Amino acid sequence: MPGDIILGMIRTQISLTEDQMRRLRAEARRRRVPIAEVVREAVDRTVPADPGEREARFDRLLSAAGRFHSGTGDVSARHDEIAGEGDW
Amino acid sequence: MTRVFVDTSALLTLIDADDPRQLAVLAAFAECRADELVTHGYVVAESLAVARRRLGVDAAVLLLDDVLPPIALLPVSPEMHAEAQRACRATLPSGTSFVDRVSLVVMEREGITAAIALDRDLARPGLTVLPSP
Repeated sequence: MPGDIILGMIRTQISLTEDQMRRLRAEARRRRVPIAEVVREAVDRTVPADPGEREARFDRLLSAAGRFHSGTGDVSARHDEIAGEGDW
Repeated sequence: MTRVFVDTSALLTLIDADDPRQLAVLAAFAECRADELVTHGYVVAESLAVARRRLGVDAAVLLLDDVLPPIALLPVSPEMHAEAQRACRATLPSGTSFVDRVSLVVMEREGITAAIALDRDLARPGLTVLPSP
């Protein structure tokens, strides 16, 4: 069934058993997030993005390693202090 | 698939060749290839600000284009933000940053038990931190 598209989200309707709905509500309540958020995360885990694309994106992350030289080597260790120095 | 939290310290160390823990952090990321990397928006904001200031605009671009895309963004609800604020207020003048307070709330609420981080403020019982100190 086609759904409405709102702000990049497709609104759709699904049927759940009472037990599924109970567990869904409990998880959403435990994490204090909307039920829809729990459903979206479950979809991502059950039907993950294209594995090839995921691998490629992960490889790009790894290839970013060591691409810059701070000259001090302490940027990470002092990031709280540096973050307070100027504009974000 | 295990969810692994990524902290600001991990992002900055990864791209800084002069950081003495850079190779260890790279190995930690490589170890988590099969896991789901996650963070939240406050970490992104902090990492971009520090990278741009100390490593340059191109470093911020590298984070945006190459490092952040495979890391899923977890939402920080108003309730989670408020909880972090309460914890921050209750522990001032502790040196734990507000971003770290949010990270601790996010990991607790989401049941996350592993993180790539060098920040000792995130160390908690039950949390496995990579790379090991």
